[in-house]
Amino acid sequence: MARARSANGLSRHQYLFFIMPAILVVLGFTAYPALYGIWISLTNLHFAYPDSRFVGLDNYVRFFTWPALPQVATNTVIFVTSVVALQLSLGLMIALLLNKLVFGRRLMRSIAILPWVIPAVIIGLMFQQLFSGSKLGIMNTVIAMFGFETRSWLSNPSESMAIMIASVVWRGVPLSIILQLGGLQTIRRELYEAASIDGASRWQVLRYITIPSLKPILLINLIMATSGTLNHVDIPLALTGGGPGRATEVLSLSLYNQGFQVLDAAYASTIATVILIINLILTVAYLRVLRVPR
Amino acid sequence: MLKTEKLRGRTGAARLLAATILAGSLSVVATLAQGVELTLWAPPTFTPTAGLPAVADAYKDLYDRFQAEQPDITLKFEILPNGTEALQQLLTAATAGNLPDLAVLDGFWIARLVETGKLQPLDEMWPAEARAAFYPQAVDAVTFEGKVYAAWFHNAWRGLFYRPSVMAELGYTEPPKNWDEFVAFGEKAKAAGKSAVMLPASGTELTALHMLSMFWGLGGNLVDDTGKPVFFDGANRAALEQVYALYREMVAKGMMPLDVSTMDESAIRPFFYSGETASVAQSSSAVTQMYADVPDLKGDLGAYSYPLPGGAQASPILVGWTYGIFADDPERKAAAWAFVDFVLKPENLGKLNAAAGHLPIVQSIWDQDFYNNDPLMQQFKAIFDTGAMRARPNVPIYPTITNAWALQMAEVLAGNITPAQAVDNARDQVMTEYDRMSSR
Repeated sequence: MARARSANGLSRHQYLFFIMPAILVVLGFTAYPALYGIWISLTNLHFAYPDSRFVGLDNYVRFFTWPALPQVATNTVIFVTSVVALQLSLGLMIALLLNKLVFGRRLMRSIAILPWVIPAVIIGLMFQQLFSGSKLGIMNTVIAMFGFETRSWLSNPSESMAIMIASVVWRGVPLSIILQLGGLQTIRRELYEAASIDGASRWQVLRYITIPSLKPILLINLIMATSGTLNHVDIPLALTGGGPGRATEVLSLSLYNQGFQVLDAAYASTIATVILIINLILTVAYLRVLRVPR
Repeated sequence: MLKTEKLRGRTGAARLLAATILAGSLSVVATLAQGVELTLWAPPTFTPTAGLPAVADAYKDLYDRFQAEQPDITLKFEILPNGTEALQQLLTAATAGNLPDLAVLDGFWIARLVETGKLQPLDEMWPAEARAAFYPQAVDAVTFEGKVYAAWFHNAWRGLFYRPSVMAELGYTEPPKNWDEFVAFGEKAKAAGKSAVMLPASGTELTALHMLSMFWGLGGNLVDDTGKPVFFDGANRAALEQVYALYREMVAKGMMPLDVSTMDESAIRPFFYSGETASVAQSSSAVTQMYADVPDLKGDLGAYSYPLPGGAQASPILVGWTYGIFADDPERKAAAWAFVDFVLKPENLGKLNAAAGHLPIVQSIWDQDFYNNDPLMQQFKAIFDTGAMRARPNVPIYPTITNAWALQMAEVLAGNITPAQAVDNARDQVMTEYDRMSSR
């Protein structure tokens, strides 16, 4: 019986042999922890107790009947949609500007990437200092120079959410810039030349050439930004800790609090599983809506 | 005759026992002579990698002197994460069977670690006379079924800090002692463009620790003897409502800004440095950091307990870290204890405590120069000398209680809920969890 062979002469078994290390790594370091996390969510594992047992969907019932869920879910939607929208649009705008630069593009690109290399928790602390309600807070020092009253920025629910969004966007935009700048540089010049000959406006060039050509990159960026923001805990934790009250508590922070403050590992795993499912649903939705023709 | 035989028998047994002990001791000594490599897990703060250079140097010196004194024991330290992540790492290691020989453990984790069956009792190695040098609460808090499982090595105090120079500007030679004096002090501070006080009120355990000191001072109890939460019943409820009411009153009277609702202890400090607040709630463990941030504070920093209504006195809370031993092999356990014993010697422990600005848990350390010559440290000593110190209850529901208490605070401060509603909300959150956990 003839074995199926590809154009480069490798049989299916040989393919499997070569990709097996990668499969094992993915199974061992991604699939197994995710599945184990789902299993924990079906138990009552709590670090303050020595034993645990299977409890079925109890933790999910607890989660969906949690009185604070409407507020935390609303916060999460506002936080994720704002961050993703701003990160992508600002990333695209700055990438377009950098793409136009003839001189200093590398330097500007290096400067633009700087926020990305700063650890997220440091950014949280930086923004906390920036918006501290004390006279020593940097923003208060600046506005006082212009004769304005100092403000307690982070004690106002709307302002603290806006500051949290701004700080996460500030860190995330460089990734969008790098991805989209890379994508812009792969778009063929002939397309722009043809559009120019046909008298297309800047807006028409952006809408009919640039954005459609960038679609695969935008899709990757969208998926990364959404899952990254949904899972993000460092900046909210360092900046507001979810406060005032629960005004800036997002699902990832609830997960952290349950796992590391209350020590309820099963409930934390339940929230993690819910976040995983939301991520999967959004990723599939993005892939369907923004399907890229082959 | 029979008596003589019995005596001979007893003498023989005694000789046999003595020979066995001698052989055992020789075996330990022989093994030590061959060399033991001990693994110690500790958060960076308690190792030569500590962030504060004075602390790092003190630990490096301690380790070096221990190695010089015990050349057959090699101490290898590995870093534990900060916070409760470390407890999770230890519990995972306990399950996997790869715990270190000894570790630096938050005093609050000991009950949970005893349940793993891996933490070794220290009684045999640590004589009662030596333990008597410690504050009794620090030994009681880590004693389970008559056995001591850890050795506490420092303490801290949470309360209010002030600058005597600022107090003097406001016309005070000493801080207010009761609630009425405190309110009057708040008016003066307000007139001078300052807040009277800032306490952390974000949704973390730190907020609850400050509240707990007042709650205990007002006669409240968190849990009953069985570990069941009772903070919402009778006199306990009245005490907790009063604590929330005091916080709310401070904001309503302009003595404390609403900003505190998102702040922990470190976020509040800039307000104290800039003189925007006349006093600030902190931990004594932050004093070294405060001196580093604002050197002028040295010699111009005082401490006072929360002024409470009705002459009540706030209770200091026992907090801090301990050494625990996991090694069950007699030789390794002996080597691990040799290290712990070395650390606990007052002349060594005093240096570590002083370098970090920690408060002594061994009472004689208060007499060492660093503590004896520092007026602020003497103020702390006077607070602990009242004997009112209490340890946090070692019950699994405790983190849920502190989480529930702290989560209500922002709403109380904003005036959105009453203190009674805050207690009800905290009760509902805690009892739902308690009932669920009780049915495990």
